[in-house]
Amino acid sequence: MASHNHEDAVTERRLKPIYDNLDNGNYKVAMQSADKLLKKHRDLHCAKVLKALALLRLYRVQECETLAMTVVALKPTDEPTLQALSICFREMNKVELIVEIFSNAVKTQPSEEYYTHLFMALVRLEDFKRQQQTAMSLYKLVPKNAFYFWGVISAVMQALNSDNSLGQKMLLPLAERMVEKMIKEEKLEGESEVNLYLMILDLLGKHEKALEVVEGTLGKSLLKSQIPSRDERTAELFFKMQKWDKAYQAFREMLIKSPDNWLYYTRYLTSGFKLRENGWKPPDTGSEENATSHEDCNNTNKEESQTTDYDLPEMAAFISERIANEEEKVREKTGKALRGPYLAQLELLLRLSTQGKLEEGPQAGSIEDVLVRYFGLFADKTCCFSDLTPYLYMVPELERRSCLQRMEELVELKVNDGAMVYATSVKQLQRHLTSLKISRFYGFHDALSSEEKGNLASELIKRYKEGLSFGKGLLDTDLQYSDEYLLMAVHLLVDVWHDTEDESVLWRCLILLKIGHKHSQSSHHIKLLLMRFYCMAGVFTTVPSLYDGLDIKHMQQDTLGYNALKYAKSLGQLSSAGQFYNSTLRFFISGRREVTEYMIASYRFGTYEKIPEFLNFSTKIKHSLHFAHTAIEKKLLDILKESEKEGKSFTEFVRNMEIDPSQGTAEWDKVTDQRDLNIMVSWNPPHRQMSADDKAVSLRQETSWVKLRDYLLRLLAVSIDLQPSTHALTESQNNREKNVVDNKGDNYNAKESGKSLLQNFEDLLQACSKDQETRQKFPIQGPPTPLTIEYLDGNLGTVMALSFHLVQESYKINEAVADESSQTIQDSFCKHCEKLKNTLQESLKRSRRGLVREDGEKRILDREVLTELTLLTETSVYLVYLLGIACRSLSGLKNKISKRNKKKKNTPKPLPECIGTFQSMVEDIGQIIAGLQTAIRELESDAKSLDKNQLTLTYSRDQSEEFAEGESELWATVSESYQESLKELSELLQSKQELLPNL
Amino acid sequence: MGKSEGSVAQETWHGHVTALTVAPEYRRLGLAAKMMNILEEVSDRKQCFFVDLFVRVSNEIAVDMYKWLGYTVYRRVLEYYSGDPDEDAFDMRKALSRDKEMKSVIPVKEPVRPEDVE
Repeated sequence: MASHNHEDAVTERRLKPIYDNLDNGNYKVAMQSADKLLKKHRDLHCAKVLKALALLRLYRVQECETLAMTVVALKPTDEPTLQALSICFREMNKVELIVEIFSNAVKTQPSEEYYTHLFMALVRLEDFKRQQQTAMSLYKLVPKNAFYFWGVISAVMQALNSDNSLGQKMLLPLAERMVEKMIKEEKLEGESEVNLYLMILDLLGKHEKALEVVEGTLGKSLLKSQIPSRDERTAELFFKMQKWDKAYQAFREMLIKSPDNWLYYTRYLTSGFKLRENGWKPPDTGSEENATSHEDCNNTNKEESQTTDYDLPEMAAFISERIANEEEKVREKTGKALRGPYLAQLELLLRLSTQGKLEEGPQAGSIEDVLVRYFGLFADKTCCFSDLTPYLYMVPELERRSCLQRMEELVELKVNDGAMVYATSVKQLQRHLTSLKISRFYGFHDALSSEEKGNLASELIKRYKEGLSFGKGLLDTDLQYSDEYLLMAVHLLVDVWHDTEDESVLWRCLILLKIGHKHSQSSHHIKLLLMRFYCMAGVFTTVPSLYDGLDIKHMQQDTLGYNALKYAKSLGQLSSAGQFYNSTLRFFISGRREVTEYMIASYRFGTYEKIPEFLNFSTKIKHSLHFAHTAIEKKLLDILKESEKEGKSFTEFVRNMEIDPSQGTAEWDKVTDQRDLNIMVSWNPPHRQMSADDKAVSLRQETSWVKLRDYLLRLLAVSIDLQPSTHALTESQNNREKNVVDNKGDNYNAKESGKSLLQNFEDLLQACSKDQETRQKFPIQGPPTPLTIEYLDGNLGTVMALSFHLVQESYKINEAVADESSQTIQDSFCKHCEKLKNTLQESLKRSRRGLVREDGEKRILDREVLTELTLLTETSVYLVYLLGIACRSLSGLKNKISKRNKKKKNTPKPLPECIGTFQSMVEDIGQIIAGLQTAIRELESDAKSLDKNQLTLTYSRDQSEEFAEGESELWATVSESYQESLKELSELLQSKQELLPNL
Repeated sequence: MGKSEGSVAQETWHGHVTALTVAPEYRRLGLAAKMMNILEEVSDRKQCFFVDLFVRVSNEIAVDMYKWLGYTVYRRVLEYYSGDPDEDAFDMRKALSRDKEMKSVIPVKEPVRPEDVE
């Protein structure tokens, strides 16, 4: 044994320099020292693996894999080698190989450590069944509770991820039995084990049993420290079991102790209303039900045990009592009033009102009083409006104005002889804001004329500026008290803009928001709205810093990323777009990996109930539509910018991306939508808010667009396989043969795949253009509509589809060597050439406009033209690539014919018509693209001279110095941003224009 | 967000406040105090000796609130928050019922470096 240890130590010493070099990034040196060591000690497997790891980090993936696999084949069992292999495979993203090496190792050397490694590798692989088997083998070897419960939770995970019947019938009962066996043997040790048992019972719907656990010895001895408390668990179980009387009682008692717990109130009211519905009557005293359970609870409060207040007056009385307690607190100055009891009263009324039974209520006819009282107590809190939103519409339409008037009186901000009176304290300012929000929510702003709306906006701007004085001592991280005045002014102006279509309003809003942002650096409401306005104005240079300023982290990339995703590329700022995609994708890729680490930690620490949560989260982000969208756009952008550059042909470039055309980027039926579409504040009346229907429409719009982009990407990918192989291609062609096995489905057939993809693409284009939903727009605080509309209106989908037809047809024509059989294809090819040229011509004609257009005496900035030109440029670049592919097929054909003609000198066959047609179309397209280039340059020069025209564009009513300054800054920014966008487009087009093929 | 960590033997087993934040609209309602109470209660049930937290020295509102909740500055941690420039943190503590003699909250006078904070 001693000699063995000595040997280990020697080996360790020999390997140390290699490890150090790997850690320090000296991969070449690491490789060399591994080689040196291997010369002397040929069987030092670990050195081989470390060499493989060095190769991997030098991007020599293939060599790394070959070398590592030779070690795997030897089935090593020593710790250092296995560890090194694990690192290597984890970096290669091949967890299944880690499973393999440790399953081999435990066969000959079963140890706790190796089994644990095997188990964790299976966790990474999400192979729950083998997890369970491994855990049980481990438990047999080392009978620790943790290992046994790894087996239990693995069975649960298997159940949660298999179809329902198998889980419910087999796996969950199995997990249940496994735990019960341990209970019988009195082996349960900790809270986490009981929690897991309760989770299983919950999944099985066995609430009765769960109740026994919570109330029995297990619960008493082991459920000690955690939230939820045992009382809460019991109450929740009664609720789930629909034992409404007991749930009612239990939540009632908890409310006495925690009168501000909203969940308790909702449960309490639901139970109470259920009892009412069922016509429940309290059982006679001394009946079985009363005697058997809950003695201790009943004894705690004698007063409660006498009356069973299941009916409405009693519920109302109970809530009134809670309110009385609050009032007493305030009277005695022992504390501030809690909102819970007051809101519970409103909730009770709302539930009656939805049942149409308001008149049965104790406070019939006094909803207004209750609301006004709440306003009086809490209007100086920013949350007051959102507290009240569910209840405000209980007031009958005709009484709303008087209700608001009563609230306004409480603000005590009266107009004095027509002169405006400003708030004199922060609290008064906030009360005023709450009344304004309610007024807007009731639709009273909508009832104003455009002029009145404008006047109110101006008044609010004055109040905003005045209110800033309250916030002079605030930190950068605080919000200004008067921010919401400004936001509401902008919302009003947006209404004016929609009513009058007066574009100058948009620019005014932008300037106001810029000012607001300056004074309140941390307000995300201002930032988000400002970002949206910049994007609508076609200005993107300012967006990245605003977006970064939101300090968007982790999951927020998924929930909020939609605010920037669309615009980065559509406004021509391609480099910015690339950066944005990268940071987003980094979250999705590393985020999922991190979640796996948390899952592993949960197994280790026994926080079993978190494991399904982590897996759910991981699955959700895996299928996120935003993720798919970003991944697709990133690839499309790379193809657009980086291929045919630095010696990398389009074909090679796309091949290296390893896109499988036969597989969609996302599994569309599993796609999840995590966008937070309520992030921007809105006090609009309910019918003008994003409804659930709107959200569904938006998701369908978004999905269609992402699908279109996915088809486009896959069509580009399949096109590279629809060209004759040439000498230059042979090598990569060979590589491709290998890749077919790896990346493209077994039955991949480029011709078939291309045909069906093109069909799908065209079908979807048509479906979108017919579907009215495509053009549905949402409130400004909602999501932006995807680019489908611009894409359809520019006929760009048609241009792309026609180009793919040309690629596919030219390939077929070449295959058939232009014999008679291909005549129909040739005819179709020529027709498509003609149509392509005309469509592109039309698209350009449509978008050849100046940046500033005149409308009467007004000069208006054309906010659409940049996006149109960006999409047109993108389409033109892909078109150039595709024409290159088609050209290769046709020149193959040309060569074959001229070879044949050399043999049969007497009867030379003329070149088919399609070649000439193609050639002349390419020339025409060259002209059109040159025209596009000119259009972009002209627009660039429009943008350059933009700031000089500023005043004629804005027509401002606000003459303050701050506004004037903001205005001139704005026009400089607009000019700069447009120039930058157009320069990027022009450079891109310039570099690709030269690639137009020549037969 | 919080956790319990440390060693029982060395009497450093404690509840730690990892992060505490209230949305702007819901401030000044006593929600932070409520959440702190819950964490203290759980830590007490887990038989922790004390609860600790780190807070930017510039965040006066938060520091005052913690003081009001019974926390005291245990020590100052230099340049704990990286940024431009780096900022110091107060390590604030409150003893729980298990620490009867309040040994855990006796202040350390000299400021420490972040690397010396375990």
